Amino acid sequence: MNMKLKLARVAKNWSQQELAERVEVTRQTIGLIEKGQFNPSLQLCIRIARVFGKTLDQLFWEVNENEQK
Amino acid sequence: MNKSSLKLDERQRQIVRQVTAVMYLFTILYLAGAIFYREHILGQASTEFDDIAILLVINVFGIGLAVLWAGGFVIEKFRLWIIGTVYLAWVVLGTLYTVLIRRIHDWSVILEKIGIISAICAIVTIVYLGVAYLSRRRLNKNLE
Repeated sequence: MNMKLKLARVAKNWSQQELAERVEVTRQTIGLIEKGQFNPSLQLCIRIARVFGKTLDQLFWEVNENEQK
Repeated sequence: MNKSSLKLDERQRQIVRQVTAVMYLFTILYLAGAIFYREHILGQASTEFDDIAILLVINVFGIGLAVLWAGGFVIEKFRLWIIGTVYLAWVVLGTLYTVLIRRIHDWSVILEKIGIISAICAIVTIVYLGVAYLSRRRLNKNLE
């Protein structure tokens, strides 16, 4: 589950539909990315990061336990 | 229906590609099944379904060519023993298929079929190798 993306979207007060329109995909695609059931391409990740004004790390990087230590 | 509703995003394109590939495989299997049914259940002569058989051969041959050309399978080193093994495997499988499906028992006919199958497999191998070589060269050229 991509909580970072969902939180960023909610922080902007955008619906999935609004985000989808901004990055030119369907609402279902955004929903599935947020649920972690679809891996977007790097190009789509960059488009999403751009509309939020964030980096890829801030939206998509997942820190595992080993890295935290 | 507006223009945007016709435009597929990457997830939709991925699904369409996957479904198309699976349905294509089913189509090939259906055609093979149709040949089997016509020959063994209806007892039709092979001339009555030559068209389907030719379509099948062109399709399967075409898949190999397309995959090789698109770089789906890159041969880094052309090792003679691997090429020889693949060629022999095709000849053996082709002969077994022909002998078993056509129920051939006469050795002279089997030898004749082996000759034909060997020649066809040699042509296919040479064409595939040529396309694999050209494809690798094209891909490497684009990387430079």
